[in-house]
Amino acid sequence: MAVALRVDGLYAGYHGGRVLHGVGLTVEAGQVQALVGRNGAGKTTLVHAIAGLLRPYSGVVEIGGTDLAGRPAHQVARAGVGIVPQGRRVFPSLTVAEHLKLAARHQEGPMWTIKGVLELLPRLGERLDHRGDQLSGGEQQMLAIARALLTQPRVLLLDEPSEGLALDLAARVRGLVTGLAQAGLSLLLVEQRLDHAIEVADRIAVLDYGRVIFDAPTAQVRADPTTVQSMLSIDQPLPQGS
Amino acid sequence: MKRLILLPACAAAVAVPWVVDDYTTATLARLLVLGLVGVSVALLTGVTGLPTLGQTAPFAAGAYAAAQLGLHDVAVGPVRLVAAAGVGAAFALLTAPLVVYARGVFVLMITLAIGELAITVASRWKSVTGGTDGLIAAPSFDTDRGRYLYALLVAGVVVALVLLVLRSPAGLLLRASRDDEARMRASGHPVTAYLTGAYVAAGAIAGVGGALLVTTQQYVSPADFSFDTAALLLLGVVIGGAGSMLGAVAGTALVFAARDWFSGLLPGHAPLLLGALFVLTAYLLPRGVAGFDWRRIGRRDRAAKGAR
Repeated sequence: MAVALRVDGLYAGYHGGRVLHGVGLTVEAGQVQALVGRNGAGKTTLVHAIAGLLRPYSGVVEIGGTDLAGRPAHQVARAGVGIVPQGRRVFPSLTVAEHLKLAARHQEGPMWTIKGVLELLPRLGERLDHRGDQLSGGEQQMLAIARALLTQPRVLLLDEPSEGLALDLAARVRGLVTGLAQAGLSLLLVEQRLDHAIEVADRIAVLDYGRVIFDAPTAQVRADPTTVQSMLSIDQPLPQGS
Repeated sequence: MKRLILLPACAAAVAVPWVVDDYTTATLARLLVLGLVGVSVALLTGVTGLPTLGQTAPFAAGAYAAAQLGLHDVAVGPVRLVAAAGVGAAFALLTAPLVVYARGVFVLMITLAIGELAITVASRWKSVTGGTDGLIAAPSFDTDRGRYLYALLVAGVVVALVLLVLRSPAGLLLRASRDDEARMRASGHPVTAYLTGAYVAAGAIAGVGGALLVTTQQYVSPADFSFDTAALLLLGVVIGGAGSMLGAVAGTALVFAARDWFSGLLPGHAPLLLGALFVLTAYLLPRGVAGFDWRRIGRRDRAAKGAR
């Protein structure tokens, strides 16, 4: 299967200190690669380093055969990396319509159009005139996903998209993730909760202290979740149905 | 509602030189010029998130360019305006790399340094600026009324153009870049290029202000671009409402008028009173005069009547 995103030997951190220690990871085309790890493991740092929001010290971030490591974020985005950031971070003073207009700008040959995104996320269509700070958490998450899709990504990075959402909304987001993968998009899903990752991912990797210490197909994790649970220091059994 | 206020205000602005004396007309013309420079400060401070103390530099560059053209017998107003805008923009383009990569208080420090350096150059480059003696420019209009109406026309056109641009997608890009720069970059937007564009445009506006200063004042010297002017411009923009261009014009004019009025009323105490005005505004109108919801007063009145 073709590789959509390849990260190899990635070292990154802040102010000279290292958070990532030679991370290696691949996302195959049309697949959901989940990345789980405890707080402070370096998950968001990895997402930022891939997206160009953090300049890595060294290593490879390859999209479609082109190494984008160290490139400015806007170039990485135009090369096909979309990001749904942790905490949504919608523009508080801009309306939903303005968010979509901004995100759709500059991208040629759109796979995703504003009309298409509104069909996928109809709730946003009812909120076009509402400002970002007038939306609920779930609506903000939908907007963050819509905004990322309109940049025409080949690889979508989702940083804890269920964080802070009610159970039903979190389930809807996971359903959306599955749907996007079925539509051919490649996704790197950062999750704190292993059961959520098992539900939607094709592969699951564990990041710990800035290193990938485990990476296997989801079926293997589902068959024996205790290995990953012990890595994440989870004592409780997985919920039924995971 | 805004149009209802704006139309009579425009009519009053045109009619005012027939109502007041020449001295007041000349003062109002000068306030218009400073209001226009205030727009350039508001564009950077309120819209793009680059708080500046350095717009006196392109203001000076434009003023000296226009004054030099006047000395070389170029009396055509639009030529002076275009030249001054070009010089102001070029100055901004040269200094943009110092400014657009900095954020917050560092922008203030860097732009303050640029403004101070510009005054130093203006004071010492006597062959071009006349040094501290300044330059006397040939009059473009014979009367204060003519100078005022010219300043009003140019300032009105420039402010209208700025408002149009801010309502276009360009304004959206700048507001979004101010709100969350990283998010804009991650959406594929070259934010640095947008900030550079806004900084150069603000330089051009300040340059036009410089040309108008020469027209209205017929004299230009480094004292016109001092730190006091830079600080009062920023103060006026904050009081007017940093994100509002009309608020910037009103706030800047108010602050400079208050300074002149206070200094006549209580000699030596004008800075103290301006400081008090600023503190009061910060407490009572945190979003400036333009950001105040005037309808609240009406609602409160109605609520009070209802309670009775």
